[in-house]
Amino acid sequence: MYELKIALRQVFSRKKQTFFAILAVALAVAVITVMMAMLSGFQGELIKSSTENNPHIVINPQDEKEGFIHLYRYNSALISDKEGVIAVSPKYLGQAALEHKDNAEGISLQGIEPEAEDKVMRVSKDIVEGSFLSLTHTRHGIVLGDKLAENLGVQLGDRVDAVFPGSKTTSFKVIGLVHTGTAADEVTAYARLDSVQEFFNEPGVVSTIGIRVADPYKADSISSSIERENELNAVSWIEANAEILNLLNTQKVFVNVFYILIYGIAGFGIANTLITIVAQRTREIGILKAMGASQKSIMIVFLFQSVILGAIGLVLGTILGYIATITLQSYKIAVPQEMYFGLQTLPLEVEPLNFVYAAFFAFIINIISGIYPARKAAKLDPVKAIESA
Amino acid sequence: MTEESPIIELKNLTKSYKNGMEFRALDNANLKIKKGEFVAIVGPSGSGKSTLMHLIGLLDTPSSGTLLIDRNNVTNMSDKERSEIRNKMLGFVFQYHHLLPDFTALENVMMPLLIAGKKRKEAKETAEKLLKEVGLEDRMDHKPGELSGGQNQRVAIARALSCSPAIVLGDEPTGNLDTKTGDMIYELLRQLNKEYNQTFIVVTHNDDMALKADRIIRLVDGKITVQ
Repeated sequence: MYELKIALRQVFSRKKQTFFAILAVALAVAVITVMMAMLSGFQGELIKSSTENNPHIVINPQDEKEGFIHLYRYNSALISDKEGVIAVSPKYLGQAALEHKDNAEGISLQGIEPEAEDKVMRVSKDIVEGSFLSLTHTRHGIVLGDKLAENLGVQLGDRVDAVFPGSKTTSFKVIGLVHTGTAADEVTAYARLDSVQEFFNEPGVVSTIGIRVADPYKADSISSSIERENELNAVSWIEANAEILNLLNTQKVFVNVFYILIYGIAGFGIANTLITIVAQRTREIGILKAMGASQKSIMIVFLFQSVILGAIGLVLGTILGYIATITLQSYKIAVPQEMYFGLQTLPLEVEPLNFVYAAFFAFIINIISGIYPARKAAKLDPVKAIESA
Repeated sequence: MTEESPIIELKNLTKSYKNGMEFRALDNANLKIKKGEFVAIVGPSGSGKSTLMHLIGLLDTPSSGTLLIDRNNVTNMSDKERSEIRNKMLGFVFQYHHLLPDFTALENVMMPLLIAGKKRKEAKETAEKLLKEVGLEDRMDHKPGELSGGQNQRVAIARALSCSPAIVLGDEPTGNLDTKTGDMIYELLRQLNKEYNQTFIVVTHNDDMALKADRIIRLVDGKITVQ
């Protein structure tokens, strides 16, 4: 392959030119990999936050006005038997007030079956004091959001009174504190489902049923199967977040346009370098032809050059992109929480496939950029080429 | 018959350029060159010497007429076929050495062999032998920039001969050298011609050199006047 030999020699004899052409490709690949890391990090984080600490499917009451699900035990049992369902957690939600000494706070009281709720919502993970699962054997135990406990001035072991018009004031013992880092910490209180049902005088009904499935991406099909077979009103996390997911997909279109522009710029960089090389090497091309190099061979020589520039560029680019991503990751750039759906720092995810994509497209662009200069070189008239000074 | 058939035969070979008016750089040239001949082409500037060389060297295509090289009509061949003939049958020595600047003398001489698809080792051996023959055995690893004009021209000659071409074309191969070096180069060409029985066609301005050739072809205004 004398073509490769010539290509290598010609590329590396012009060090500055080569350096800048490689840099153009490297920067393009690096910028794109960092952007991809941001995008997939953002999407990943969003999906994680929608699926990790939230039910994958929520059963809501059929009748909006009544607001309750009847026969929840029977329905829960049926849903539990479905393939792919890991846990089913019926929940009674009610507004009430908690009092401790002179303090009173409005709360969102959640009546739950501790084990089931923990499986669906992973509450234990956020417990900072006490235990969530000890609710199981504490009939009048309560787990409070840490902010709520602070506002009430209560600590683990203190007693608080739940108050609701028309209900008998009930005393609960604080057996756990939970911290999720969201506003919910100021209002959330968990107690056993039977205690809460009794407190609100609503035995036998729940407000919602939360479901966790093995594969979050199958939530949609399981959800529709529940609707079809059990005639319940089920909403999967995908449906619930449809707007955000759509937004992300729209954003992807813009980002792709951006990628194309970046690649285009890098491609012109390569093409420009090669056109310059062809211009500088015109006489040599003529001589190679005189020595018997065919048009095809000349074309191959210059395509090789673009491949060499591109290959080095994309290797450097992926390394550069990786380092940049890791660096940005470790800086934990803060973002306004409201704007980014509750994310606190800019999430970046090192997704190996992204690097493969970025490199692959860079390579394709390189070859395309090389075609015009290579053809130009191949078509040079040998007489004119040799006589050119 | 085989003995007598010419290695190069031009039949009414014409090259014209249309630039408003038609200009015939080569006008109905008829010429036969035998194998092993050393032919000098002379004539004033712009008389069509270079055009003739380029046509015979398959670097240019004629407007009309036929060119036979080793009895093959090369006028209508594809780029691939013409490239192959250039590689295997033709060797060029130009006024300027036109070596590849990024390659050493040895690599430059190896290049036509590599283009011909020869193995590296074989190409290297041939190239070394040729460079020794032109007296550059101790300059093989130097690049053109590190060699003198005469040395570079000798490398160019070695390169022209590397594929053992039947025909060697020289377009004022000594035109860019001082008289002494030029004479030396010319003698070298003459000597190689006798040694290998290759056909040499050399364009020259130098009458002394032309007189040493087997035959002188004179061109005036694109026409062959004296054979």
